[in-house]
Amino acid sequence: MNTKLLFAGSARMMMRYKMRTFFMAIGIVVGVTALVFMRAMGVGAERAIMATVNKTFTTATINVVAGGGHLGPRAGGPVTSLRMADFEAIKNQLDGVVLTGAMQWLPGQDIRYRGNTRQMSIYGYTDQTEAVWLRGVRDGEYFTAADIDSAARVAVIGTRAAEALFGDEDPIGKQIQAGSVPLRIKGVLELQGIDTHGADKDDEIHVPVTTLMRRLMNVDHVFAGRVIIDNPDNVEAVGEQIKALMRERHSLSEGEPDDVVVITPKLVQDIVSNANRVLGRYLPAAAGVALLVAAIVIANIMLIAVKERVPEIGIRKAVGAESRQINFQFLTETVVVALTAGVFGVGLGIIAALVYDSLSEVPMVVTPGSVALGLGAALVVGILAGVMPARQASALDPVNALR
Amino acid sequence: MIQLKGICKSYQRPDEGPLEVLKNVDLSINEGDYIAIVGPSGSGKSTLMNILGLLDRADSGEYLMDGDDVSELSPAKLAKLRNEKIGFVFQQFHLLPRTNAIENVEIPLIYSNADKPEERAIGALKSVGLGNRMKHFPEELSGGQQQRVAIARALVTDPELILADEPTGNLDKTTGEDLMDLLQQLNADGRTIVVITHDENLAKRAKRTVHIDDGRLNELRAVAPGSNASPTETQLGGAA
Ligand SMILES: Nc1ncnc2c1ncn2[C@@H]1O[C@H](COP(=O)(O)OP(=O)(O)O)[C@@H](O)[C@H]1O
Ligand SMILES: [Mg+2]
Repeated sequence: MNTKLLFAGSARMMMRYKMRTFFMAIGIVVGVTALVFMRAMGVGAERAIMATVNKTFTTATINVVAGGGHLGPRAGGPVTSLRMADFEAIKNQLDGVVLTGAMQWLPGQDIRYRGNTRQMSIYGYTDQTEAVWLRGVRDGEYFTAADIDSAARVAVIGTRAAEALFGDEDPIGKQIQAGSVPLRIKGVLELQGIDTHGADKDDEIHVPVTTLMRRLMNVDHVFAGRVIIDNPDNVEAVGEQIKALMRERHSLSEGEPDDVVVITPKLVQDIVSNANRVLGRYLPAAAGVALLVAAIVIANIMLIAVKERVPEIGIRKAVGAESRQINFQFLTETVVVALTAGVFGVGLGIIAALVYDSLSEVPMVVTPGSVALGLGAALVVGILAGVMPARQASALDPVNALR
Repeated sequence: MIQLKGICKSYQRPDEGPLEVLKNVDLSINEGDYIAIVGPSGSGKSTLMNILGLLDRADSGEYLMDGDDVSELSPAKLAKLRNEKIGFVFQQFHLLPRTNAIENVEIPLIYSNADKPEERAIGALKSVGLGNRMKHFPEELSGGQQQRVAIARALVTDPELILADEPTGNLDKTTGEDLMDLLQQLNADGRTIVVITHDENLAKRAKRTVHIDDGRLNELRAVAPGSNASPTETQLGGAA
């Protein structure tokens, strides 16, 4: 068989029956465009979140959060067993621990300056924040160890919070009110943006953790803390040691559940990438449904085309085409249209992703894998849609076909 | 070249008994023959031609091609024989629409291993007098020209036998006669030709005329083997 001649004929038919080709192709173009676009969105979101996670969560970091074995709001009230002294103990008793820092927080507080009021979260940190939580001040200065010891009435403020309360005024040295407690602004926090929970990290104030506990909340426990170790390879092992130490210090008996959650970078990455499966997998699956519909449409158009082309099939058989060659020809024609449509779809998907990337805040990332996925999907649709019409065409009896 | 012996073919009818179309047909076709098969509509001419052309199988009887029995060959082998040895011409031309003359003529070469298909197609079109219509689509050609494209398609694999089923059936009288001139020319060049027609005048141009009626064949007239009289002269002589 002269395959080159056959392909040339199929390509010609595609060009000369433009309407038919168009209607066969359109479903695949739309489906593949959607697939590539959605994959770009999913991959972009995953990369962006991972970048944030990796930025706020260096690989040698372990977070310890008060709570009964799960994250998020807890039934049965807050756990009050986690103390600043626990973090001192972790630092002093466990090998490889470089730094620790405890924190407490109080969300949704009215902060006043003269006539202005703004609601924001108050975070309590230690003087180690710059090293432990990787955030310092852009203006003024952070708390000192002395501020922590004395539960000083001082604060550092996020840029957006400062703009809201002070406008054009320089906030440093000014006195604000948190409830009845006056706080003197010592510095303005480095910009950080929106965190993984959607909170604006530039719209908050920090006070010494002791000030927050004693003067604002009247508690003696902390909400969480962070442990920095010297070797990233040991995070899981040190995490286990922290759990054991906490059980011992909090006098938990054998059957009682943990009262702290130990979060390692691996755990966070697992949770985040799990959440991203929704974007990365289920949305493309929706595009898959569109492609399935496209396959059904194409199969029907091809079945009609086979009926229209009965004399052609008859003449091909009369001049020497075997049934399997007719089968191959019709399958090829469907696959050629499908793959061409797939190429267009990938192109449009990439263009749409680039345009959306530049017009919106959503990061879009097209990977070679997404391109392969788009083309592969088109190929599969072409084959699925082409098999039945090709079989029908090849089964035609030439005598009847030519009558 | 071809010997048919005792060929029978019948079709099942839903209500009545089977319709016997060919009853014990014997026919032998020799190299260089030009045979006209005539008979009324529905007499089984096309059925016979489909069997001769290996498009259909007889129910019983023997079909020898170049001495070999072909009645038990696989569909793929039959397709190969059709491609190499037989060229078909049909009443309805059966050219592919939106496909130009060269591309139509090339079709049999898709299924052969012949090299330079385009050159061969151009040669075949020139040999039927369509050297100046090669890029034309069927829609742009007259009926006579379309049938010439179909003949070029039948010739392009250089087959020994041309089977034409009422090739002039869709053509007016003069065009039909021109076409018969072309077939006659092909035969003069050594090609074996079997043509079906129900026009007795056209049939007279052939060297042999075979009549088919009620499923039986009768040879009406034959130019004696070895006679070098052209069929036209025989026909004129017969008419005189
Ligand atoms: N596939 C078929 N099924 C049933 N009857 C058929 C079929 N093909 C042909 N016939 C019948 O066989 C007879 C001969 O047909 P055909 O060979 O086409 O005649 P002709 O070509 O001489 O006009 C006709 O009566 C026709 O109706
Ligand atoms: Mg007929």
